[in-house]
Amino acid sequence: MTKTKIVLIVSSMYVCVAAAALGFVVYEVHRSGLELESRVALIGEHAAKMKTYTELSRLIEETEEPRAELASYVLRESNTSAFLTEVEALGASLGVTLSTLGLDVVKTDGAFDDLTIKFSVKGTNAAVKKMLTTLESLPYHNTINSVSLVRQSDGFVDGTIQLTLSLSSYDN
Amino acid sequence: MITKETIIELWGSAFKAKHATFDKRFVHPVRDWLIGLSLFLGIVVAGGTYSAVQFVAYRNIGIVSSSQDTEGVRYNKVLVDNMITQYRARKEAYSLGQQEQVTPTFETVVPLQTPVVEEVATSTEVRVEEELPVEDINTETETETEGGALMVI
Repeated sequence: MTKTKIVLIVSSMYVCVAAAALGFVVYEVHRSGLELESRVALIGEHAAKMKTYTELSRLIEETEEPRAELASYVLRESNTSAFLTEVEALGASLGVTLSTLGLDVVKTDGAFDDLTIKFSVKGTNAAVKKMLTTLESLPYHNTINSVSLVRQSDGFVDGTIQLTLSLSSYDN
Repeated sequence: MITKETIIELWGSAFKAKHATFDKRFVHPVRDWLIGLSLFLGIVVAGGTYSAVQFVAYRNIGIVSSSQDTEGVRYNKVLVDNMITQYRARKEAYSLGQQEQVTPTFETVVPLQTPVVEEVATSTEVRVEEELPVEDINTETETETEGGALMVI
């Protein structure tokens, strides 16, 4: 084998190795670029989540007091019995005979359910009016749906009151 | 017919310098050098271009926090403050309403009937000999109720 042929073979091998190395380098650069892009995107997403988490934590801390106060204006499911007792006692203190006829809970898509309470009420006209006014000013998120009153011959007023309150089904 | 021995003989003659023959008309060193250098320059230019493209692509890469994926919680402070103010007023009104006592007032007042006095003749005559002692009828007592109002008994 002559020297020229050896040089040819060696140079061919060198070219092949160099081409393979070049291809490998190009492939590595390309792959590293894609990996860098994905990692940067991942870091960006993580940074966004951290930013959101930080803002949410700060918001939770800053709004703890008003949220607790607002939550106190929504009747909790566990306090329903106490609420009914309170309203009936309120009626008694206002001179109105008030009793609960029925409860109905309607599930809603919102944050709170609707609790509808039907009361029977009996008392003087002024006392029943005062009772209605007091029910309207209940410190809960509520509405008086319907009122049906009949004046009796003895001067008393007899009827029903339907009250709907927002009901929170969870306890903090 | 080409046999195995023929192929081995051709292979051996091809790598034996003393039997090798070549046509010098096919040898053009300048052309070959130019081809080699052109190939080398092409590779260098292609590599440089690729490197430049990669450099431009990743030169300004940075961490961009995309807020589109993570939607923050919106807190309407004005609405919350308004609601708190409104419900505080309701709570105060409710407390005041609880403190007020309603005195029962009847719209239909039944008039009291005047007592009918009948004179009944009796056979025995009652005579008051002595004047009865006058008792102190001012027996009103005052008690204070829980709400602070004075109730007269």
